[in-house]
Amino acid sequence: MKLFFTLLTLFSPHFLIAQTSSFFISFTPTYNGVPMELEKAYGSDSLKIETLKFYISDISFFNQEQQWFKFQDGYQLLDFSNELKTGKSYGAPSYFSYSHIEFDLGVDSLTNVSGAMEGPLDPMNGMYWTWQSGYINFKLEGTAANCPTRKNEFTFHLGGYQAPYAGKQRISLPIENLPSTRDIEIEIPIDELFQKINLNDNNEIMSPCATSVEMAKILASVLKIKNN
Amino acid sequence: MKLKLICIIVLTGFISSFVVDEMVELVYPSYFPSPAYNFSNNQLTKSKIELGRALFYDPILSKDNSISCASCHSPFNAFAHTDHDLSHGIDDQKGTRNAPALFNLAWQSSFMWDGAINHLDMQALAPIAHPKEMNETIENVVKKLQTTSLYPDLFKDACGDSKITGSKILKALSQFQLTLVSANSKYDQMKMGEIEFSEQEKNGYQLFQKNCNSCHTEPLFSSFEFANNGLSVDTTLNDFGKFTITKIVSDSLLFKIPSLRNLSFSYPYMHDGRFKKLNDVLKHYTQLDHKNKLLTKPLQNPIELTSNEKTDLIAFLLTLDDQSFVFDKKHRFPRNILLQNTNKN
Ligand code: HEC
Ligand code: HEC
Repeated sequence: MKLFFTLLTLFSPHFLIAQTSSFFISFTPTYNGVPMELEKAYGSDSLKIETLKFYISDISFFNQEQQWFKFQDGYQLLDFSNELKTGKSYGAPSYFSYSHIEFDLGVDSLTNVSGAMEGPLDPMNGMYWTWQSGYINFKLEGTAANCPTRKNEFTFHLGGYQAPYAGKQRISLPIENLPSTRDIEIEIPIDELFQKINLNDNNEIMSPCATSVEMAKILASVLKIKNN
Repeated sequence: MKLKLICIIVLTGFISSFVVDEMVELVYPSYFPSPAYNFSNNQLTKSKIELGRALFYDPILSKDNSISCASCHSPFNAFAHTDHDLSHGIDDQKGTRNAPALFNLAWQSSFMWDGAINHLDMQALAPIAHPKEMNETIENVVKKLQTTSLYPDLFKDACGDSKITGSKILKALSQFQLTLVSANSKYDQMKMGEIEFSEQEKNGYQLFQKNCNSCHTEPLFSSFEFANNGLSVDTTLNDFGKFTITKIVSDSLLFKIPSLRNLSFSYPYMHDGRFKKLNDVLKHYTQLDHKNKLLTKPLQNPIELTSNEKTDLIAFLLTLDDQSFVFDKKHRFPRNILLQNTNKN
């Protein structure tokens, strides 16, 4: 009987998960801490976002620097085209708690060279370059009054999987106050991102380059946990 | 008795719903290396190959349904485009490069003259999206195909599900293109011991091995590396090859080494189609400017060929023509599928 139980725990994590409660990990683009609506103007530069899409994968949970749990559920494509916030539910035993999480923002190099794939990685999701191989890790498009381009448009397609322009970022976020629901809301402070880039020199990134890697790093540095 | 019959019918129905498709093995000579393509992610089957063939010849992949892959890659030209130095696409717009011949793609792991594409599956996205080629999006191709009377059934037969996705389209196109194996030229027959070369061809073969084989490596006649073979930059195009993609200075003016099989069918030559005849090509290689530091190593030693030797070398290059490949009916426009489509619509 004891053996049977051990076998079950070993071979069917889903069995365990099904027995336990779920929690939600979500991402929200914000401006001064307020969730942003697409197509709506923010701030003195009338910053508007039209497209925000990105890949995440390999979410790992740590408790005091020890890895507790890793969800190997492949890639998620978060697309804010119709919502303020998007994310995914995870199930884990209720005693399961964590003090920091890590995840990949972007697509790893092996996946980038492995041919056509279904689901979130299907090129029909518009997250694959066409004239040149490679996934777009992060797509941000919109307008801002101070952007010196036609129709004030900015276009950031960040990607690249080959050195020296590999763009995938490993994000690590400490969690100070884990709510009892264990839900995690990750903020993408768009206002902070735009404070750190100068739209005069950087308003269009359409292929992997030094600027795209630099911007991916800036993006990684502004992500934070809400109400932490 | 009746019961038995029903059982048999049920059983065959059961089996046939599992044996969805006939597996196909890629056939190639023993002296070829193993393919670079990972077939375990895209096992060749008869109906996927046929689906890919239909897609390859169907102009529905372009914005105004006017251009198919075959518009630029014709079977009779070893799937190159011989009328033009630079390719012609939608609204008769000119591209900036010569459409390469397509064969033995299973052995290649980077595609395009500059290596922009890292996997055969992903290659088709480039011409589909190119504003001067097919000017379409894969999202819209999926939508268009889904509304035809033909394709949902073809996808169901091939993939077990009539729901069309970008990935399924790309993999089917790969399947058809992977079957384009050219391995029955006079050279191949010589390798198999079926025939012997003439004295002239033998001499040409030696000259080839001495001067060309380091880049155009047997038996595929390319190492599929990138090199600078000394072509001057065409200032109307300013094409810097691999540098365009990697932005690494030392990649400037490197182009993919093309295979030399089927040259009689795939003229004009080079990435911009600047040479129409093999004579012009040999003239280029024998008149290289050796002070050009950018020339890739083996070409830094002068190539000296008498006019007889040039003739012999060309005689050898012609042994790489593969008529049976170029005239293979299996690779042609699939009338049975696509003409039925026009009737249906
Ligand atoms: C308008 C003409 C045109 C059309 C239409 C076109 N191609 Fe091409 N094709 C080209 C040109 C030009 C290149 C070389 C491009 C480069 O090097 O940048 C090429 C390159 C390729 C290659 C790479 C070959 C190699 O050895 O690197 C493949 C494979 C290919 N095409 C397949 C296709 C498929 C499949 C389609 C249909 C979905 C298609 N092509 C449609 C012109 C075309
Ligand atoms: C240093 C490597 C190298 C050597 C040696 C070399 N080539 Fe090439 N060859 C290339 C490259 C690279 C290209 C494509 C250049 C381009 O289009 O920019 C090419 C293109 C060609 C083409 C055009 C094929 C096509 O489909 O467009 C022919 C024909 C050719 N070479 C023949 C030869 C012959 C014959 C020799 C020996 C006398 C030779 N090459 C030696 C690198 C080499």
